Amino acid sequence: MFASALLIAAVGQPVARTPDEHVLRVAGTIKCPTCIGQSVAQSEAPASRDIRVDIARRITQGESDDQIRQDLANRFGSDILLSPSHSGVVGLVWILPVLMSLVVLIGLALAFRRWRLTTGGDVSDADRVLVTDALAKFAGSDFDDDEYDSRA
Amino acid sequence: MLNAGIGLVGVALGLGGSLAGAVSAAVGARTGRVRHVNWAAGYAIIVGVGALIAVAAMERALITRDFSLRYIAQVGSSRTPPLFNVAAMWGALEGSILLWALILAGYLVAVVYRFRRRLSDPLVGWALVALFAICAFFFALMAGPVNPFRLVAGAKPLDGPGPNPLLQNHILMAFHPPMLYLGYVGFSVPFAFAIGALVTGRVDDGWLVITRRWTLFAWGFLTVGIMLGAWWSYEVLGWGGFWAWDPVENASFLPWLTATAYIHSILIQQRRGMLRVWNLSLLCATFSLTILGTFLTRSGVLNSVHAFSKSNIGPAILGFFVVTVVVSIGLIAWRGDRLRSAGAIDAVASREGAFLANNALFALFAAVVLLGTVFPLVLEAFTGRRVSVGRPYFDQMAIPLGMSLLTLMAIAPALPWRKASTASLRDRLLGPAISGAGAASVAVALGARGLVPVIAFALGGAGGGAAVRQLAHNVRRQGWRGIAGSSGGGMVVHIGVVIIAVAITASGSYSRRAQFDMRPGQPVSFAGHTFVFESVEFVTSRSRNEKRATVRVDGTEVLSPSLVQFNGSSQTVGTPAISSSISEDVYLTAVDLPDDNASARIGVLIMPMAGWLWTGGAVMGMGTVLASVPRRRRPAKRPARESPGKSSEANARPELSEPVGVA
Repeated sequence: MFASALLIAAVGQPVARTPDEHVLRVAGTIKCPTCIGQSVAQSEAPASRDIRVDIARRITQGESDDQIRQDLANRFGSDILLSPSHSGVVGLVWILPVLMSLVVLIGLALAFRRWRLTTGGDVSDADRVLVTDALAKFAGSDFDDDEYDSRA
Repeated sequence: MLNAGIGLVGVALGLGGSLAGAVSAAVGARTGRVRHVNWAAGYAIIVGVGALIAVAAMERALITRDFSLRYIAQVGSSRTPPLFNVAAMWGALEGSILLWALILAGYLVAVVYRFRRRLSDPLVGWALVALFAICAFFFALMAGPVNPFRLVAGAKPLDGPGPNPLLQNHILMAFHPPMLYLGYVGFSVPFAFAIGALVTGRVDDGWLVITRRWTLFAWGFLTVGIMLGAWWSYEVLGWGGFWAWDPVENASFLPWLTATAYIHSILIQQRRGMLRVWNLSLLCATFSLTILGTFLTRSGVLNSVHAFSKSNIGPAILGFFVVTVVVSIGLIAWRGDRLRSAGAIDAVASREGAFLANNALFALFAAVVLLGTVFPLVLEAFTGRRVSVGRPYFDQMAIPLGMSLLTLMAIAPALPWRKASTASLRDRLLGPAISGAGAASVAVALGARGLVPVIAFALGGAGGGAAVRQLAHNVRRQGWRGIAGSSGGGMVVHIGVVIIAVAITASGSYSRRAQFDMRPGQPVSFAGHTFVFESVEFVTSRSRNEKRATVRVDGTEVLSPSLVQFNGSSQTVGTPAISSSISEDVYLTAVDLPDDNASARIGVLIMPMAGWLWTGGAVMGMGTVLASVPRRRRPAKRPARESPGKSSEANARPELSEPVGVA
């Protein structure tokens, strides 16, 4: 059931977009040049309205989203793009999160490894069973929310 | 003049009381002399009274429209309605620092009252020193660079412009900032106790038990404050969104992320005595991030909708931030030897393992948001290049992180502590898996398409299932009290988060929008609804001129999006009109309204499940309250001491048995 649901979801076509949705999708990636901290999609400043009209015109002329963005960047400077470029020193903003994820993963792996090494030792499975059984007797104490399950 | 004088007396009392309080609390804590400790308590009350006097003077000046004060001339106006006039206190920089100081002083007094019988305990004493020091910093700001009681230069103006039009357009503006600040400032308390524990070297577990509920309250207020801000943005700003990854939003989200990590990882420390350094670091990071956020948004280095006018408090706040970080790191390093713990987490697939993964994800999330927020600043400082990092970037980063967190929410609550056998794992995860598959199937049957959103629904369903499973299990064991305490309340919060995640996914993936030129009486159809523009009416009051469209939706309901112009401002503010139902919101904006009854340009936005966002926020708030209710203690059935071994570590800490139910 779940697999078929995913399959339908993956192959199903999303509903057709209205022109307005297309314009706002592009406008959401452009910074409003005159106001502060808002995208062209959010802002009602005259400059933003003009850019929205311009984007709409270009879309009807068949320009691609990237073409439109590139052209706006040429006109207003590349910091009008809210999604920073992937190349050069600016690309760091994209690379660093990937590096940080790796560091976190490696850190977790090392921590678990160290714990395993320090605790693994000479505890046999039989010992573990003994401990588990002993603990099960005290189930229902404040500590073990889940002991109930292991008894059941 | 009178108001300025009274206000400055209040600020002076606050500053003097804070400094004197810090000194006497420090002397009291060092020497153990009760006299000094009692003085410190008295100084705390002076600080509280000083803050109250300053706020009263400011409100009096606002209400009496005392335009001789520069601040009133900036945010006050004779035309502002009373509620917004009172709320105008936090409408700009100086007043927002005053609000901060008031709440901080309130927390200080609350701490002194709560611990009145333990004031001579050096740990409490040093915590008070830290709190007094923070108070002193904020009162010093008001005595210096952001004096809210400065007089206007030259002739007294006859009237002011009033608060920013956007800020007087909705009642939520009166509540969002105080809620947010109650959260923001509230983290000062656990931070202060962390400092106290580090200074006294008593980094055993007592202090965090003491402060756990304070952290939870601050977290709850911050959560509700953020949600109210999102709601305000949705109701007022008219672009149909609720979160824009604006620097100020990020500044409130950053401490929320680290605090959320903390309220999870603290459970490991409470139970297993581990992760002490990490938990202290999270508390210090949370507090430091509130200060950094204040610097980023109040100093004018970053621009945003929220940022107030440029000011000269940047260096002072940055300096305070650096001091906070240096002191925190220094103390943690100094006490490093006492912080080490012997415990170990033996399995990845255990509750501890899941909490650890949760913490790694939250820390990563915070690091990424911080990176995106400060990257433009840093890049420009070093290379002179200007770059913008905005919503597309943050969305792209947040989706995988959010999905990973949802995955953990589906699995973690079902995992047992310590270690799980494969069989019991299968058993425990069956319920969440079924409810996840069910949620995805229902979503697809209702028309959801696209792999990412449907996976998000599946994860949401599984997360909800895991939370409900745990709640049911608690209730079976303890009756209705099972929904309270850290476990029960926490699961209610999880359900709120799931509701919000599903609502964000649905509204983000399946919203529809279009603009129409509507002629009076002519129906327009869009996304299964019909809209008939009927007329435009003009509403004029003392404070505003409003042009209001009447649009009939589906033949019955009337929505009135409008364009408002506030007197004293040339800015026109569009106010959307929203009709909310369980399945979707119909959100209309007036883009252009004719003066005669010609055609009107109306924006139509259909937001599926948008109303669920606010419901989810309310559920999170409720869950936080439940989590802070102490659970009844069960009679101890375990022996006083077990054979030494890691499994008995928790039992070997009798002082820990009480706080388990205390969130």
